[in-house]
Amino acid sequence: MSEHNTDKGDARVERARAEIRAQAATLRERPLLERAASPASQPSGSRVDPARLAYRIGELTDAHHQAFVDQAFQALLKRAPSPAESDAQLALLAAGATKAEVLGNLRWSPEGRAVGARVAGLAPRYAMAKLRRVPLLGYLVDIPLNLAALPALARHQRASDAMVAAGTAQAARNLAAQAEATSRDLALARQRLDDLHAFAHELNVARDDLARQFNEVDSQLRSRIHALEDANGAVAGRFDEFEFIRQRFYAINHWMHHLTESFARIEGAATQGDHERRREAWPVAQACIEADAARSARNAVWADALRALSTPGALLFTGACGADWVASIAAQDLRVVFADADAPLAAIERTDRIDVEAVDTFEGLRRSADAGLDGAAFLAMSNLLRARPLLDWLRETRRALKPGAPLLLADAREPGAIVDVLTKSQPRAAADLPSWTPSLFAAAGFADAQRIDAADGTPAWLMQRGAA
Amino acid sequence: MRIAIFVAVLGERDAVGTDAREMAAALSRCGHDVRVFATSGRDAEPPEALDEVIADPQAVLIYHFAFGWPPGVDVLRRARCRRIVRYHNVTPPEFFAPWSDEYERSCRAGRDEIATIAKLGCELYLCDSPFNAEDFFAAGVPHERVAVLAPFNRLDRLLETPAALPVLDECSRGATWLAVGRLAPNKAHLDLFDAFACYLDRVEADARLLVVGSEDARLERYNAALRERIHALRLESHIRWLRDVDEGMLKAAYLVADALVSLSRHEGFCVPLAEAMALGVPVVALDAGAQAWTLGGAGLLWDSADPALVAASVERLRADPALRSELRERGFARVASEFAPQRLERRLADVIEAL
Repeated sequence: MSEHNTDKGDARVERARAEIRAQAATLRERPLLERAASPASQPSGSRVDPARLAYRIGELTDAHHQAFVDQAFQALLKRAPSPAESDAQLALLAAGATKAEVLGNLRWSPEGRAVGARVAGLAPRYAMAKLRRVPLLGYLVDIPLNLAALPALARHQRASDAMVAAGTAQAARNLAAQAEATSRDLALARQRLDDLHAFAHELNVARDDLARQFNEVDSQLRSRIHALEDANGAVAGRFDEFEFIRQRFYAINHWMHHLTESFARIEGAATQGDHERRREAWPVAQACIEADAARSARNAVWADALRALSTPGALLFTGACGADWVASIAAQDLRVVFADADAPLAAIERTDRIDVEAVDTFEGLRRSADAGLDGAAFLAMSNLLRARPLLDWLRETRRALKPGAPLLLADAREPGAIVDVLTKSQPRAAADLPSWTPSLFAAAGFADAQRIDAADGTPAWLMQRGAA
Repeated sequence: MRIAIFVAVLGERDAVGTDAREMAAALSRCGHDVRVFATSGRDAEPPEALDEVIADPQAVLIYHFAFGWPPGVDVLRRARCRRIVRYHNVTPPEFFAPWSDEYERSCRAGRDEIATIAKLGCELYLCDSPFNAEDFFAAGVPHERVAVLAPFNRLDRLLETPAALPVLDECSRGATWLAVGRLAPNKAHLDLFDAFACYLDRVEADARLLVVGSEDARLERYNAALRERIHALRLESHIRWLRDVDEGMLKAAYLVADALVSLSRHEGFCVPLAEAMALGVPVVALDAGAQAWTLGGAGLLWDSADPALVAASVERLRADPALRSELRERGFARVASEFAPQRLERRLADVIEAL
């Protein structure tokens, strides 16, 4: 395969090459075709075979005039004569030279010698013809030869006369036939000319029609272009409007962003202020608790109640209560998770039994896994219910408790609740625990709800998470 | 700049004569003072007048080297000006050994002259093709002194010339093969006839072969062998010989051809390939000599002259318009990029400027 074709790398050519190779492999298996006559045949009408190198002189002298010259060149020089060569040989014949002399001249020319064709009988005839060209000697040789040939010449003359007469008659017939054919051709040519005129007319009509169609198309295209330009202008106007709106949108977005940042700063400042106030109020709340004489007995009762429903080492969740309650639970051989936003203020230390999360109590409960707690206790329900309704607390607590785990709900005065009272201007809404009923808790998924109010009258409910 | 173009014989239509004449015309258009010297040829000055030019150190001598010719070497040796050897390749003598002692001797002398001329240390060896350049590389000429420039041609005139109607009328039906080039052994016409006979026997019985080219009287033994092969293969009535054709007939031959078939075994460039590409004629060629480079992928190039393969190639070209179109487009592109006369003129001007 050629590297150049490969370099060009065209897949189609390469595929064609492969197919040609395959085709070539089967070509010789095809049946042999019968050779047809081709229009490429030699136009000279020569009867001699130019491929041969040996001839008889009679083969070459049969033809006359132009045909003789063409045949002589094909046989002896293996080519056609040029117009000048042909004219020269015809002039020689017209001057009385014999055909043998013309043949001899060609055969023994340098070109003829190179070809080397053999013509039997040509050499003595050519020699005699040349001898006749020698002054005086040629004349002396010519006379007796011609005298001896007189009878043959006379026969040849008579034959020539007959042939000329026949030729003349034939030529006249040919001329008449030719004239008739010419007049037919002329009529045909006139007919063709008329046809051409008609065709030219049709072409003109078609051209005019085409030009008209072009003009229409041109006009339509121009109107389309105008319409497109108008539409383009309108679209450009709309784009301007969109751009205006886009700019306004960006400006509003910018303002909103700054507004949000400002609100965040205000909120942060408020939160910070709230924290400051709660920090200031915390010692007061602590002092109130320490002044509550019934607190320790109350916490002990509730801790015992929870312990009774729990196994040693159980995990109990609580929040919104004081550090003493967490300590009392831990003392019951229970583990405690204390979640309260005020955890830093409560200063409850982490131990192997106490885990502290400084987050909102409800958020701490929400972070607990499903059925991950063994119990829960919320002592300041009035305070917790201000952040979330009771239903949320019951639903989230039920999700986090294991089946049968205890839940304690009370409404005691815990530090966070006291701080709320001290720092917030709104009146504290008390949780109305005494009005709650076991059926309410049962509907929320808790069983065995019972009042375990403290001795000082602080209301409290103890219940267990239902199994379902 | 004074430039002398020196060629042994300034032919009218042969590749070397055309290159020399068109080169002279191109350099004249560039403003140089150009004179052409040859032992014979229209408009050429005799070699004796060359002495005055080659004695001028500022002048440039361009010697067209295509066969062994001691006077050419002598002029190169005596020249005191800058010398360019325009190399058209010399056919290896082996091709002529069975046919002509005279040709064999001449070609052998020409091949020997390559080494002689290489040793003269000319300023530039300007070759028709990379294939030709290999001869001088092998003779030890440094690469920087060898350049390739395709031969000047008459493609633009061939495109403008009206085609001869009689040839067009004669070949209006049936497959037409075309072969262009003088009848010489390296052109492998015997292989061509074998392939064409295979096509007639197996593909299309009324096909014709147009052979454009003349016989050489000094190669009569080869000519006789061609005639015998034609007779043996019964091709007489299927071959149309076109001898001494003018440009109109040559163009007509290309226009009627279904393919140019060149099974030549040695070519320094092969102008007919460029002509075929310029006229949109698909080419089937043997990958020998410079033919691959000249075609540049714009033809079906084979590494074998297997008659069935060549015949199948022409059959496919006749039956596959897409393939013909592809090759035609490639041919046009190849001619435009490499062989267009304007492009050759610009490259030659660059070569002369760089001397």
